This record gives sequence, structure tokens and C-alpha cells, in this order.
Amino acid sequence: MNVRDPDPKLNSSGDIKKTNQASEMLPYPHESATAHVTGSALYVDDVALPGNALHVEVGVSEHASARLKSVDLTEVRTSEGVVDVITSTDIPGENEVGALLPGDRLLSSQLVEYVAQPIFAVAALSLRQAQLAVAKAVIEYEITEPTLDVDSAMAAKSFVTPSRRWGDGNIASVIKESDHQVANELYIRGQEHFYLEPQASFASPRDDGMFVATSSQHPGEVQSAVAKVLGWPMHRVTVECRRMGGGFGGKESQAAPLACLAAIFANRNGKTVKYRMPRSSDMVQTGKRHDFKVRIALACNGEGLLQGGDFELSGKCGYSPDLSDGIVDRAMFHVDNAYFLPKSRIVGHRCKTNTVSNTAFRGFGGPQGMLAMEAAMDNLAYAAKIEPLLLRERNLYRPGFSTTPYQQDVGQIVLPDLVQKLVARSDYWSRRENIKAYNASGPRWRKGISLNPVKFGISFTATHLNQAGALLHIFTDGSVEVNHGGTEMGQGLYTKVQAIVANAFGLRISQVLNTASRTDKVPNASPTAASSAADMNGMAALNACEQIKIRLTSFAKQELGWTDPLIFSNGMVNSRGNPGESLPFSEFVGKAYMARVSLSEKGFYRTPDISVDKDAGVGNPFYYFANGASVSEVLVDTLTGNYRVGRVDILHDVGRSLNSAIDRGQIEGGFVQGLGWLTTEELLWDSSGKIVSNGPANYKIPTAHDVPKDITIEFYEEENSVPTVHRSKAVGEPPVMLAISVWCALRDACASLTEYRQIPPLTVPATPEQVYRCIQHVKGKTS
Amino acid sequence: MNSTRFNINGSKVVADIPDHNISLLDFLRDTLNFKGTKQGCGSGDCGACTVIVEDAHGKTLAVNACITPAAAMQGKNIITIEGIANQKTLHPVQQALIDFHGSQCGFCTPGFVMALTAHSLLPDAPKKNKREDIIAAISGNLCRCTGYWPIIKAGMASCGVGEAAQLRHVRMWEPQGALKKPHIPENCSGSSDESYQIAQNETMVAQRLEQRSPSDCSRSTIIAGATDEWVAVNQQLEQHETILDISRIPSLREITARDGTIEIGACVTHSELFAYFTEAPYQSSAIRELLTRFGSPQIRNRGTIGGNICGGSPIADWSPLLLALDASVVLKSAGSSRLVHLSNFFLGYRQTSLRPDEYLASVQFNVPQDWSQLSFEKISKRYEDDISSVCAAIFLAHDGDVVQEARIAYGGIAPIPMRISALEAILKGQPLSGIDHGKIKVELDSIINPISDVRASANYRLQMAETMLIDRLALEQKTA
Repeated sequence: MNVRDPDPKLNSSGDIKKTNQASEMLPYPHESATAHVTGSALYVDDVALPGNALHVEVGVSEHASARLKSVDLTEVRTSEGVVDVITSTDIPGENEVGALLPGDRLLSSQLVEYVAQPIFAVAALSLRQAQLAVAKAVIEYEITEPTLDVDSAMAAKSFVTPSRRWGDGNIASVIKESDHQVANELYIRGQEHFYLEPQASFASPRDDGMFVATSSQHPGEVQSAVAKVLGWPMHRVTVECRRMGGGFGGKESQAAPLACLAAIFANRNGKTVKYRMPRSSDMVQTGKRHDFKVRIALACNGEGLLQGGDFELSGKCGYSPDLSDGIVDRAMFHVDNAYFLPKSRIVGHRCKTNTVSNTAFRGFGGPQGMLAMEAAMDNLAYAAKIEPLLLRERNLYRPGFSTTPYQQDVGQIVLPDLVQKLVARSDYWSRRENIKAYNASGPRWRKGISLNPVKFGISFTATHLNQAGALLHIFTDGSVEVNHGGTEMGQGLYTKVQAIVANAFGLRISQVLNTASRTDKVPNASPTAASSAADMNGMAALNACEQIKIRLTSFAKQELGWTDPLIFSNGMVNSRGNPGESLPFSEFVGKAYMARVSLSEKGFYRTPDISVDKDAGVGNPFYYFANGASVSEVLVDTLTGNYRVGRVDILHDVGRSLNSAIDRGQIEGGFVQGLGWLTTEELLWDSSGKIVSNGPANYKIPTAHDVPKDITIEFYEEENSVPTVHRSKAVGEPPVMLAISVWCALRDACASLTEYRQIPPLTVPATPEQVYRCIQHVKGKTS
Repeated sequence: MNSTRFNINGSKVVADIPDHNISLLDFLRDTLNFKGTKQGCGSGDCGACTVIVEDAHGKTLAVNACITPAAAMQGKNIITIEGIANQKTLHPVQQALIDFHGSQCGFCTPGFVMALTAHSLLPDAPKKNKREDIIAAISGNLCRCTGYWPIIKAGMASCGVGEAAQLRHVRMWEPQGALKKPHIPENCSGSSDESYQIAQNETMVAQRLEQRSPSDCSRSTIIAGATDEWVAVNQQLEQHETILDISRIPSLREITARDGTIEIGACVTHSELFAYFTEAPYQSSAIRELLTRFGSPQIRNRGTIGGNICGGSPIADWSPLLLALDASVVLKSAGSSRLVHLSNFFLGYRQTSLRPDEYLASVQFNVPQDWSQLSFEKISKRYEDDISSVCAAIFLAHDGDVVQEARIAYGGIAPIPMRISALEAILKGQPLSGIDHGKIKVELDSIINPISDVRASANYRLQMAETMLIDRLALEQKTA
């Protein structure tokens, strides 16, 4: 197929202003765009396997908390097409697949701790045969009392890791002595990732070990887990991930068990084995965004300046630690959101419940902390009789008031100016007045509006993860291969790194290929997470480029006799200021090869200036902060609770954009994912601990109809103050929280029914039914 | 084993379907090695598996391959993502998705390409490139990465009109290859194998029903669109011993209007009904509302009105509307036919008065004097492609202020779709201005007893049932 060489100038990327970007950092289309639209992009499940490949399904617990009395698999083993059946005793190595902390069993043998916990696994000639076989198991349980929610876990002091307490024990009196104070509780429901590609992995035995293809954000951890369950050294396991069909955090730790089971079967049977989860299994067997119960007491003085905040955050972690310790930490690190708090106490609990172990999800606890704070700011504004936006503006981090509760200075001050610009661009104040006037006439459909800022810390709070490696090869024809530990899940990482490398050598992007992430090319890589992948892998790749350029410079001097520094531009290598000294890149590197100069290099990057004591809650966990703000307007039907999101204005800080089209895509997609979390996506369990929102028929992510027609997205035009790659900023997670303004606007519309005297309670998510309930609450109070 | 003949992307394919319980998606991916069509959910909810199927009239329809039986494709022309681009150029939908950055992870992208291509193949496509047209066209496709804006823009740009449609490559594009000349095999007779048979006429259906004993009903199955049945095949792993596909029987596929009565054959699809009831002379805003929010284009292209009624579900949207139209169903068996009033058809949760030897042949009702007397309203968590928490169909005729006739039916408030006859009797003969809304609410409270589940609480369902009725009464009072 004759496909046009991607030329960004031909590509309309919407209404992004193309100022403030390095001229070479253009809005290239996604590196796989053509493969995506023609269906030729291969995902794990699409790779052709040998005809004798086997397919895996697991048998799972029907109860949330039980001891296994007997497991009879006789009928399973004789079921049509079944080749192999394993239980925990068949695991050659350790029965452990935990991520940072142990506690996740691959297969359970005695206790089951949540509904859908795997007990045994089947490999059959087809997936359907494996599924039919699994249903034939006879398992007897001795049921024990489960702990199913945050409240009962708190009462039982049931935690996966110890609670943390930061800050001032004297906070109660600070709040009490302030002019205005509020105390509220907010229950925030979790979220199903609903990546479009369900979890998948396959394993193929090789003579020196095992090859594993995985849809995982963390191939390194898959490698480690597979080696552990096989009882092998890691060097015998090679893990590859070309692309994922979406990850959003749900494939950070959750992909490993699939790879482990496939590898165990592959090793036992000497065959390629695939484990692809049907959606219906994926939605009950894999972790989700944490529910959080948040208690906040917040106080300000008569001028609306915050005096202190007392926060207690209790995350519903499920049965094991998984990544929950860091997730609750990040919720604690973000409960200030964008506001300076002179005094604070922040307590975080990691509640252990008999539910699937909750895991990373875009924002990693941050969204829950920030939403709770934004809800509390509205409450406080009503208590102090200040316009909510004024209370927010007055308390933004600003010069002289820039120290976070954990004693880090926020550094680059962005928000006061960003918010001011957004207020002007969105015409906030006149719309606010018009909406109030409109609502005053008592219409059935009420309007609401809210502006909310977002500040998000960039870096893994587990400091050791802030490292990245890259591998760069220049071949003798001048084509370049770059590889790094980051994975591509649609976020455009490969496209960005490809452009960074092309730019470093003055090449067209089609001359640089970013190949699949593989554990034998770049070892010990961190997960692609925490929004940091472009920052870190981009820098690692750049580091490799710079090293090769140093070698090429001395080669040019010694072998070609060129005297001036080299310039790589437009496919040529030139000596600065000397027009005679110029060669096409391919010819130049060909000469370097003949002169026996290495054209391959590894690059490395470690994020500087970060360290934190998480028990004390003091330190510099973040290299910098990404910022943004949004204004949302909503229209609410007071008779049914139905609503529409109207105009949305977003101003977001991506530093100097690496690719404006991709960054805009992250903002749009993040906003809608946040919108779903806060509106239609209702994650529900029944009283026995079963997930009842267990499929797309009853768990509703947004459709095209739900996204506002009238949206304006602009970049805040200022480069990062710290030396990140091309002075860009991370953009993966922060935009999710821009949707908080929709939730606050819904609440504002309901408050109009009190003539803006009170701000009624609203749950998360604010489904039409919950908005209706909020309205009834108001009517009950006011009538 | 069935040997099935059809065209894929313009090429004739004769292949053995390994198992008649296999979906078109598994057949495409696992047997024929077409990996571009993706499995996202297996229940027709996400659209990642969308393919285009050309019917006997040359209409190109988007369908969900995951809930379409592979054997149902006998003699059809199928277009997959692999057949969309011609050899030299991408299809304008594909190029627009690249230009507008409409793919991120790319997993949903083939499904969007297919849904948008199906839309762009409509005869009036150039007139249907407004934002709401494109949104409707992709309402059965989920994307978790982009937030849909770039996809909507790409759809608007590639469907014929507007600034972006002036792009050179869009103008250059002519349907070629698979899309140029649809080839429909003339002989699409059913296979001789009994495991999956495509019935040619009603006699075959009656005979099959007569032969099957009451005990093997579940194993010997009658299907039409199978949009519900194939979810059970995928999710509950149901295995049917034999399947009789009645979707092509001409006499079950007709809509006839005669002497003030409309009769709709059981196998008329929702898409066909949408066309019928949104054009003169039978334009119904209520049916438009029902069908706009009913499933997705992919579901409406396969699902039939007979299937929606026969399922007996309390949340099937057609049933309340047909109850409000005072409809009856025609139930046939070998040698007999009976007319059953729809309000006597539903017996209990997913139980109907259909006998094991009977099939539903058609539904019929009198054409209302004025279609505006019929309204339909639906409450659901999400606007598009969601199942009703509660829905109301209300027929209200009044002469000036006085109510002449009221027929009120609900879905989602009882184990069956239900008429509220007691309320209808109260309203009849009353002046609209004199109706005590409070009394109506109390009355409704005493009759209906909804449940709480994952979609809504009992209380919300009750409140919404009241609100929808009071709202309609208030509206009529204003216009009286």
C-alpha cells in the first residue's frame, strides 16, 4: 500500500495554536496510525500462533471469603479438548505475583479472599473448550464472614499496609479557632479501566528459556514474575510488548498473572500457550480504581484565606497490597490540590477488603484526593459566603505561599496566571451572573457552572522507579532504531521518542523506527506509568543520541579532518561554518562504520532532585508539577436528574509541547475518562461481594453523545522551568482531573434550588439518579 | 459440519464452519485469519468487531460480528477492515481518522472505520455529515482513549461535505474493490445440514416446532437476528444442538398497512422499522425516540421486533409502546393461528403465552388517528446504547379538555411490560384541567412495585414512572 509519508503540515490537528513549540516538534500522527485504521496493527491476540497452541481459562472462587474444603477437578480433566490442568502445587517456583509488595497468589489452595480469585487453571485446544471445562469443577467452601467495605475494614482495623499520618497533631484547634470551618465526608466510587483490548499474553518455549508476549505496561515486572513462578533466573525469560489496546494503569501489575499461567503451561507442555481474558472475566478478575472514603475538615479566615485542613483518606484496596500503598500516598500528596495550607494533618488508610485487589488507574489516587478537596472548597465557600471561584483564586499556590503540606516548594508558579487567563477566556463572571439570573426564574432545567484548578506532581513517589534506559542503533544505511523501556498503550510515547531522536540527528521521522519494548534490549525498566514515560525515556534516548554524536564529532575531526562542531540537519551532517564539509547522514555514518566507530549506544536517565520520607510525609517527591484548569457548564433536568454537559473551556500546562496533536489527544481523552468516572460509570458490588456492574451492558463508559460539543482546549504557553526533554511537561494523567469541574457544576446547578444558600451533598459518580436524589434532598430541605 | 459460501472483501469464500455455535467474529479471526476485526466485549456493546454485511437488496449494514452467527452469513457479502482501502489509497474515512488523530491505542479503530464507512455508504451520506449524524452512526462504538472529538471530526470530514471534504484525496476516491460491485450469490438456500438451517418459509418453521419435544426447546433453537441469543452463547456458553434461522423468510419480513391496521412481520429489523416510521405516512415521533436510543446501529441492523417481544423482557422497549398502541400478536403453529392481545401475552418474568409448538409471526395494531397522541420516554444511566431503567409509552387522546382514551404502559416497573388499566379508567372522561396529580401518584404507587438493581433503585424507578406520566398530562393540558 502506498501510504503518504506523514507530513504534519497537511494534518489539521484542530484548533491548537502552534506557537510555543520547538519548530521541529511537530504534530506528527501516531506512529501506528495507518496500521490502526487498516487493521494491520497487531495486538497480542492477533499474533499467529502454531496450530497446536493451547488456550487458558481459570476456575475462580464463588465466595468473597472462604476456606477451600475440597476441589474436585475430575470432570474438568476429562472434558473435551482439555490438555492440562494445574493447581497451586503445580507451580514450579513461588506462588507469588505481587508487584512492589508480595501478597498476590497466582492460584489459591486454601483460602479464597475475593469473588473470582483463581483456584485452578485449564489449558485446552480452544478457549471455549477451556471455558466449558472450568465450569465442571466441584468446589466445596467453608464460608467465613467477609469484610466488604471501607467502614467494616476500618472498624476491624484491617489494612494491607500500615496507615500513614503526616502533619500537625494540633490541627483540630486551628480549625476550631478559624472564622469559618466545614467538616464533611465524601464517598468516592472507583472505576473500571475498560481498556478496549482485554488482558492477553502468550508464552512460547525456546531452547534457552521462555519468550512471552504481553499486553503490559511493565514488561520488566512480567519477566520477574514469570521467572519467579517458574523458579528460573530472570535471564531465561524474555518479555516483549509492541503495543497495548489501552492500559490506563490497568495493565501495570494486572498483566503478570496471565503471562505466568501461560508460561507454566508452555513449560509443562512444550507448546505455545495463550491466555486472553474474555471481557466478562476481565471485569471481575482484575483490579480497578480505588473507592475512597474521605473525611475533611477545612477552615478559612474572614478574608477567605485557608487556615488549615484535616484530612482522613481511606482507600478500598481489596485483598492484597498490589500498588495500594503508593496509591494512598499519592492521594495524600494531592489532597491539597492547588491550594496553600498553612497547617494540615493528612492521614491515609489502606483498607483490606474481600474484594479484587484494586490497582493503578490514571491519576493513581490523585484524583480522589483532589476531588475531595474541591468538594470541600465549595462547602467552605458556602459557609464563608464567598463565591467559590474567589475562594479558589485566593488560595492558589503563589509566591511566598508555595510550600506543600509535605514541605516541597511547588517551584514554577503557574496557576494564578493560568486561572486568571481562563477566567477571561471563558468569560466566567458574566456567564456566572447570567446563569444565576436564568435559574432565578425557577425553570425546570437548571444551569450550573464551575471552574476548578488542577495541580499534579510528576515522578514516581517510589523514588527508585524514576530511571529509564534506551538503546540506539544507527545502521550503515543511515536508518535508526531506537528502543527503550517504555511501552506504547496509545498515549503516543513511541511517536514522541521517534521525533526526539529524529530531531537529534536532523532526520525525517520515517528514518527512525521505535521498536517493541523488550526486556532483553533494555533491562530492568520501570513501568510506563506516573505520566513520566516521555520525560524519562525521551531523556534516555536523547542521552544515547548525545553520546553517539560525541563519538561522531571526534570521528569527523580525526578521520575527515573537519574542524568545527557538527550540525545534524535536513538529513545532512555539516561542519558549522564550513560549507565544504558536508555529507548526507547515511554517507557520513557509512564512513564512520568503515573507520570502526561504534554506531550503537545505550542511554540512561535518572530524574534528579527527588527524595521523600513517606512515613514522615516530608520531602521532594516530585520533580515538578503539571497544571491546568477547566470551566464546565451543565444543564440539569430537575424532574428526572438527567443532564447535559454544555460549554467546556480548558487551559492546560504541558510545558513546551513535544507533539501538540498527541498532547491535545491526552487532554481530550483524559477529560472524558474523568467525566465517565464522575458521571455514568457506577461500580457496584452486591452484599455478598460480587461485582454487579460486570459488563458493558451495565457499566457505562461515555459514548460520543456524552461529550460536550462546545469545548475549547488551549495550552498554557510557558516552558517547563526544570530541564525536562525539550522543556516539555508530562500530560498522561493530569487531564483526568479537569473533569472535576463537571461534577462541581452539577452540584452548583442543584444548589440553585436553594437560591444558592446551601450546597447540597452529591455522590460520586453523579448518575442521573444521584443528581435526582440530590435535588430531592434540596427540595425536602427547602419546602 | 456446515459448508458456508459467502464473499469476503470481494472474494468468494467457501469454508467449513467448525461449529454452528461459532460467531462470525471467531470464524473471521480464528478460521480465516482476518485479525483486523477485534474482540472487545463479546456482547455487542463496544463495536470493536463491527463489519459490514450487504443484504439481498444491496444495502450495506454495520453489524457486530461477535453476536452474529457465522452460519447466518450464507450467501452474503461481507466487508471487513481488510477490505476498506483499495490498493493505492486509503478510504477517506481511514485517511480522515489519521488526519484528525482519531486513533490512540487503535484497538477500537477498525470498528469505528467500519461504522463510519457503513454510514458513508448510505445513499444520502453527503447530507448526513452533521455532528449529530456522525454521533448516531458511531453510537454503538466505544473508545476509551480519544474522548471521541477527533473521531467525530473525521466522520464529518469524510462523509462528503464541509471544509475537510475538499481534501484532494477525498474527491479522488471512488468505491473500488470490495465496495464497488457487490456480488450477492443468487442461490442462498439453506444448507442441508440440520445443525444450522436457514428457513425458506413458514412451513419449515411450523414443522420444526412440531417435531421438537417440549424438553429440547433450549437445545433446538429458533433465531432471527440473534442479538440476544448470541450473547448467551458467548457469555453463558450456551450450546445449541440445532438452530433454525428464520430471519430470511419473506412472509415474516413484511410490513403491511391495510384498512387502518399495520401488521409488522416478526423478522422486520429495527432499522427497517426506523425507516418506515420516520417517513410519511406513518411518521411517529414516539417510535423515532424509541429507536434512536435502542441499542446501536449495529444492533438495530440485526435485531428484530419479534425477538424483542418474544424475549418477554420487562425492559424490552418495544413491548410498552406496542401495549400503548393496543397491539396484538399473531401466534402460529402447524395448522393453526391465533390472535393474542399483547396485554395477555406476557405472563411472568421472561415468560410468555407462546406455546412450544408456536412462533410469533407478526404484531398488528390500529393506526392511531394522530401519531402525536403516542409518546415514548426512556430513563437510563447513559443516553445512548443503554438499557432502560424505566420507560413509559403513553397514548392519550382528548377532545378539548376531556380525555377520551388513555393507554399507559411501562417497562422496568414489574416483572413484565405492563399496562396500567386502573389509571387509564380513572383518566377516561376526565377533564385534563381537573386531574389531581397527587391522586394519580398515589394510585400508581399502589399498582407498581419496581425492584432495585444495578441500573436503578426501586424508588427512582417509581419516581420516574410518576414523573413521565404527570409530565405528559401537564403537556397535554397546556396544548388542550
